[in-house]
Amino acid sequence: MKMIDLNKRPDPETGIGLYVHVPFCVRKCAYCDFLSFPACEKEREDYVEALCREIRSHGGQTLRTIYFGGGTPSILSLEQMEKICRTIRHAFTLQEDLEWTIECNPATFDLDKAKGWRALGFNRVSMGVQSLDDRLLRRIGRIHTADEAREGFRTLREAGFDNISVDLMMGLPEQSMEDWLRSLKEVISWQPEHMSCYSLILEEGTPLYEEEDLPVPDEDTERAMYHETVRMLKEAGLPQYEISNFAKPGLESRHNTSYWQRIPYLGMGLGASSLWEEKRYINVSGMKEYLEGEPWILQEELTVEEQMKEFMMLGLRMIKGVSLESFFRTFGIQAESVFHKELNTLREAGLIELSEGSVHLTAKGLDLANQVFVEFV
Amino acid sequence: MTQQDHIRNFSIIAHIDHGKSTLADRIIQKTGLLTEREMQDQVLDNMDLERERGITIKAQAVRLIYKANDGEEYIFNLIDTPGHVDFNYEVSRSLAACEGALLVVDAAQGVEAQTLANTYLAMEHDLEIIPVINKIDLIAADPERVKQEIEDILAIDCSEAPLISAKVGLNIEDVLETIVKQVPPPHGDPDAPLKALIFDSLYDPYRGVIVFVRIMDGSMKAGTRVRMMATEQEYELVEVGHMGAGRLFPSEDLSAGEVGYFTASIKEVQHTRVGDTVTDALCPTAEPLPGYKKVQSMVFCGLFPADGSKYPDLRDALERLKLNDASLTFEAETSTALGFGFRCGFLGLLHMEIIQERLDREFNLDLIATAPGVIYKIHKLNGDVIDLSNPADMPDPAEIDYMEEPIVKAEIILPTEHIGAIMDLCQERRGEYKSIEYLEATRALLTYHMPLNEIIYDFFDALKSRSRGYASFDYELIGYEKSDLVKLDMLINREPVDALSFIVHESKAYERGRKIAERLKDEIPRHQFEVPIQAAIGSKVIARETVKALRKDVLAKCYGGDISRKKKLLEKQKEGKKRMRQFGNVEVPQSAFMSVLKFDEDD
Repeated sequence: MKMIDLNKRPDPETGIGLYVHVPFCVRKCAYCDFLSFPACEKEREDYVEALCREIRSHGGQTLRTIYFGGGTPSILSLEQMEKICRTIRHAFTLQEDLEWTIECNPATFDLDKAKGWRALGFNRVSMGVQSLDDRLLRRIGRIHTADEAREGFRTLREAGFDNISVDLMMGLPEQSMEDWLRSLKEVISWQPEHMSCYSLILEEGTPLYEEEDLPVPDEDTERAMYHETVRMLKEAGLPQYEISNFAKPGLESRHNTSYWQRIPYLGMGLGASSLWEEKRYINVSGMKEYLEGEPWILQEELTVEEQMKEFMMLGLRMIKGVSLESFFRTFGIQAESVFHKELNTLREAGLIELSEGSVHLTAKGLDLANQVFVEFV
Repeated sequence: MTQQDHIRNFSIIAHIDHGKSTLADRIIQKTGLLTEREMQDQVLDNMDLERERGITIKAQAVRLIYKANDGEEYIFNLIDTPGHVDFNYEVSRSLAACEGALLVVDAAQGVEAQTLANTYLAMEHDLEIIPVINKIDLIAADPERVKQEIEDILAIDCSEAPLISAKVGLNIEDVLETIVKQVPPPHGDPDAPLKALIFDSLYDPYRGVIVFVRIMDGSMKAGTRVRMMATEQEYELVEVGHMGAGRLFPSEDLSAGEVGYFTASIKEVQHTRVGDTVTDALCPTAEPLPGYKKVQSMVFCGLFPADGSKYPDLRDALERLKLNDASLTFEAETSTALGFGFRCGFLGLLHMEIIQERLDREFNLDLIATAPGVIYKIHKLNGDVIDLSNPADMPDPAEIDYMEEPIVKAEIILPTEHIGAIMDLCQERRGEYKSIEYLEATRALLTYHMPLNEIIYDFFDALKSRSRGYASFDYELIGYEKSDLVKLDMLINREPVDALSFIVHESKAYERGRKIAERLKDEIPRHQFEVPIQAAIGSKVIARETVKALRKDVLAKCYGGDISRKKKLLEKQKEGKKRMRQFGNVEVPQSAFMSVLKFDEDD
């Protein structure tokens, strides 16, 4: 089932990323447009089986990061998890300082499970909390309560995780500035190493999107939430390093950062995406097809021009921006000459800044990042 | 050649939707020219658009053979007329080609505004008017009341009026027999010099213009050298003949009293104007037929291709349409906001709508139209008088002595319960009340003199909405009057947008300016900076709105699985930007130009 040529390896020193998708959840949240759905035990078993097959067929690389995302990966039993991890270890070479993350949902794991993950090699957990307000949690269809989230965090610490990320969402329907700050402050008090704070995106086809006259905060309030978040997290020792991400210096998510740096990655599992040899692939999204081992679908083959645009568009998501030197090293040409016009327009509009050998978004650019990105598609 | 006493030339006139086309179909069917199988609904309306809208745009004629109860065969020439006020002149020329007219009146609705207007027109041409009460199968039908109404209002004897249902084919025979008995036969002089009336024409890419004529005196045949008396063009006839439904039947000749067509390899439809007299170039008639007018456009607007590169396509399309429509005028226009386009002139609002729709439908052109306007007369201090049809050409107000605007006589027939609402509406539109006449206990005829520019904006829609669809309306131009007019400019980000300028009465300027500013505010997307929208007369700003600066435009999440999809979203966003009109720093979507034309009673 080898679909791509893995002989042409990137620098093995650097290593690549591996994403493993677990498309199961207890119940779909009202804002979620990810490939995820509830499933019975038999389905999960079959899926783990197929996933392991896929991992085996694509092995051989050196991994610098592994990320189990979903869905809710924490829904899998320890036995299933162990099977996948064993397969990965067998098929790939793992770098010594590998970052290995699992996404989890409060109310889907206990201390034993968390300890089990630790034992399997996971060294980072990203927990989706979203809010510490039971009213709002219900409103957006989360399966857990605020107390379960608090309990979940404590459990992870108790299991020995010293690199935990917490996800929160702002701009939720019926969420006030006070609501938001209360959740944010409490999570800060837990002292997580990393936080992702997302503005709610109403994705087509989700129940929230369909809802008429959704009482989401107005734009000014939503932006005030965002700006206050940036300020407070910086003060709390979690400076912003990407549009929605904050971390203790040195504990930024290596895996996610690699997406913005265009480091190659392989995606295993239903609907997972890969970037390999400047081609973007996506796995089939039908479970039946996946179980039958249908090959990846080539989405786009990136020309050098497209690679350069992506380099800018993705790199600019990060607060430190795009290093002009690394652009030159990668493409052998200067970003300033390729994107002369775009950079000038954006600078004049006050959306980007050029300083210390890098291009990065201004504060205004962070709010209007799409206006910057459209110049690079 | 048929004896003239066996010819009946007639039209059908009616208010819209009273069943004119359906009756025409029935007549064609009953006379046996077409078999049932050939019969397509409404064969006279042969443009798709006509069929869809249920109205007749171009006059057409059909020749039918009817075997009457007296055992004789009669030739019926049924000349269809456009049923709308915009085409009043065409209607009058079609009527001039007839001796009689069937006046179709809906048995439930009774006399409506166009019933009146068309009847008066037919009376002006001394036509024998035969009332026909249609739709008697309707539950709401009250033929006796309607007959009484026709007698009271129009003074037409209805005692023998056929009571029919064209839809179900009831009593159509009565109509045919009445035509034979009551429509006078033509009595032209077949030996006099040729005198024929052009009442319509059609462009055929192979044969050139096909000209529809009624022969008044004399005769014509292939080889005859004819002259159009008004345009002074001469041609040698290639073919003459009669019109069947959707087909032409060549014949030896056309003689006095007959209706038919000729071709003469005519490439310019402008050479064969409706109303012109055709005569023999070698043996001309002394006097042309009365009533010829060069058709004047009443309503103007700018048409611009949404995609600037389609400009040549738009020009070709307009040229093609003009081949069949001499009343359409256009000239190139350049707008700083909309680029290259055309200033187009139309007979009226419906004509304008039809042309826009045909450009869209038949030529697949995505258009931006500017607000419709009329011709204003500008009297300058130096004595010059300018006809102004494009606000962009308005001279400096300092050079203007005074301005005049076209005034129409508007006749509105409506249920009495809506009189208050409609009088308010007319008042709001600067109408000058003339009279009110009660047609019966529950219906009245309102007459107003109104500025045409108040009608072309959204009067029809307002009228419909405020009378719950019950008011009918007709208008005719009666002249020009002095008026306090100003040019209103719309400024986006402090720059005037030429395509949004229009001429308006001083008293209306504030309200219109405010409304348009509000609409533009809703249409213009938020930018990275605040965008002021102003309405101004000269340098004086009379209304202002602000498009607030964009505060948030960011994709919060973009991880490995999102990249291709998010890129597509951004590409879409970029495409949207491209489709906008760049205006200084401001991007204005095309919908903004259209939104100012939209009608909304709640505003």
